[in-house]
Amino acid sequence: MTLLLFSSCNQRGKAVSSDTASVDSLLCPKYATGYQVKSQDGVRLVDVGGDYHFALVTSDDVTVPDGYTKIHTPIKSTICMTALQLSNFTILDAHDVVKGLTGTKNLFNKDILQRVKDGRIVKIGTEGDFDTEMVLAANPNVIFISPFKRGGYDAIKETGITLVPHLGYKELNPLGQAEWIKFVGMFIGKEKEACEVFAGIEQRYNSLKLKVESLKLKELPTVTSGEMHYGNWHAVGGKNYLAQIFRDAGADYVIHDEETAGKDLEFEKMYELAANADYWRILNSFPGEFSYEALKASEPRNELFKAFKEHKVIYCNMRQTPYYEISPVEPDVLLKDFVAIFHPELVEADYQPTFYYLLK
Amino acid sequence: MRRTLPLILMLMLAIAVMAIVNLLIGSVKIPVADICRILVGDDSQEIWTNIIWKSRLPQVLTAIVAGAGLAVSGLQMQTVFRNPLAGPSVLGISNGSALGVAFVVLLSGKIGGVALSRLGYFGDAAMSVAAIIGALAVMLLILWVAQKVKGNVTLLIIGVMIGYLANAIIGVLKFLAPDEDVKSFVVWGLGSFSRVSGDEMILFVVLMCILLPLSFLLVKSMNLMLLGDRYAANLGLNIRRARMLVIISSGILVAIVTAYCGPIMFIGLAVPHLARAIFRSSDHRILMPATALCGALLALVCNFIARMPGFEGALPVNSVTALVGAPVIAAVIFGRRKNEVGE
Repeated sequence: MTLLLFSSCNQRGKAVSSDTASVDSLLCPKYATGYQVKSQDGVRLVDVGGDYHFALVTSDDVTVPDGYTKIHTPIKSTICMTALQLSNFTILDAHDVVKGLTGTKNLFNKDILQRVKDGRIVKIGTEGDFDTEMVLAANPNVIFISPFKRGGYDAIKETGITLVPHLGYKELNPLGQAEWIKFVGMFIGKEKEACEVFAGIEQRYNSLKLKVESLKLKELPTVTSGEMHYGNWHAVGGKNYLAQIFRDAGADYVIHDEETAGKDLEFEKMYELAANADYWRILNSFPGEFSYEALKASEPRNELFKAFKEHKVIYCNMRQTPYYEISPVEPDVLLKDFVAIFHPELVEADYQPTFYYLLK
Repeated sequence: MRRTLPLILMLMLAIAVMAIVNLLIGSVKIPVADICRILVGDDSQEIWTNIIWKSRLPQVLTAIVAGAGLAVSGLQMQTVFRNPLAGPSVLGISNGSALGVAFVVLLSGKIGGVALSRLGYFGDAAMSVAAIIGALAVMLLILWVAQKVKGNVTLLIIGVMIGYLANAIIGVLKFLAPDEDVKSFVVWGLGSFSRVSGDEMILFVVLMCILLPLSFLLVKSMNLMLLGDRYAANLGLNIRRARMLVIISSGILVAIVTAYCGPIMFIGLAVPHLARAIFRSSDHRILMPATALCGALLALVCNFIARMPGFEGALPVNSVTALVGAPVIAAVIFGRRKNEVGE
């Protein structure tokens, strides 16, 4: 009975060996909402986002349920469309599976850059305009995609390569986003490593979150985010990934709506919301050392914010820090960076931030 | 002529009313009483005070001078080329500013490394400079061509070609640039009266307040140009010189407005027609101020609509100018033509 329970998240299917079963149970996402895993007759069935169903098999003579696309695992080669996906491979030490990328802008990982340089990884062009020849040259078993709106996937589909949506970017929970390493782990035969790595992330994240909660603060510091750009302020929504991290780090994000991605706000609206926020988080790719002078130069009204006046801007420069490349699989580190700013007493005195620091 | 003065006064009144409406209503709700208190110098409500003085007022002033500038520039172009479809963008001048901005936004960090990209970040200031440089470069090119060719149509065609060329280069730059930079460029291209603030806004308004009256000095030449090149020449007008001056005046106006507000379409093309229809005159002594006032008014109306509560900055000014302006102006002109037939 126990084995049966273990064999799948939904308690369906039949039990296989106890070892596989326990890994299977670990593979079931606890935080991620974009994919589900179940085992049936020794075949691992993965449902992605409702519309996509994959059966991961290790030998070809297995029959898979209707509606499932058969994928022979472990896959030996793939193409990553986003830095977020790449981060999954990086943390699993599986760069050798990656044969293609969309681009290398703001990419820091030396190993990846070297592989691009000597041709082991090819650049296949941007979304909406893929170079099909390069895609074919990379000879991927599957391609992980993050379907936005620009398309260009039909041409790749024509080539017969299986496209697997990687919906990590849609996860609103930081741990949920990181949990996609288990998803990638299943495809590349590193499910055990993936579960171990994730367990570590989860443990570190949750224990720090608990520490913050144990402060039982009546009043949380408030934090705002973003910058004015050509007349508009793109404000991430109150249900965004970032808003969640702020909450977990013991701060209150100034926007409390139900939006996830966010929306463009006019200056006066954003100013009304954020004028008195204690902190102000900014992520950009400023060339050189960012400063309060630079912030003011980009928009004179920036100096009206309390966080500007009190020099409490939380900053990360994507030109200097591999933010998109690694932060998706290090939510615990991101959280710690924020906690170190909001509640410094909770981290060691000599803590060195990785991504975000308080701009002096 | 008799109806001109009352019409001008009415336009001024309408501008004043719209300016006040723009001050009163925005995406943040501020009670009218509080706004009045703020306007007379009470600053106890710090956030609202800043919103009024540093966000709404600059927008009102920007919209007024930008609208006037674009409209006058459009009128000048239509007169020089004696072509009702001419507008500030027809000679590729606004494409020139777009190209300048594209170089800064899309290439930042790629070519020339540090210098360009540093410029790129100081956001709006650097973009203004780039836009002006781009526009003036195209304008100089046009002027050089204007000296070589005689016919206006030839010049017009060359202007349009330069525009295409600039667009093609922008296309390549966009293609090569990363997504977020392309998005920035697209946002810039939507136009906005709200991105100018602080000292920049003051500089912009002062510049326009100098340039607009200067452009009025050309009304005599423009009236003569309406008669056709030969008549004008017979009446002692140096056609080439006059043409150059008008193009320079128009080009600089567009360059500066585009630099600060992005490429605002439509106003330059349509407002002169509106002014002609309302004032029933082709005398530039009337048309110039009339066009400037109509431009300012239309810009204020559009700015108001774009910022109405609920939209919260989601509507770009460029869409509003066309969505609101096109039917209104079509109706006015249509009504006028019908009357003409009836008369």
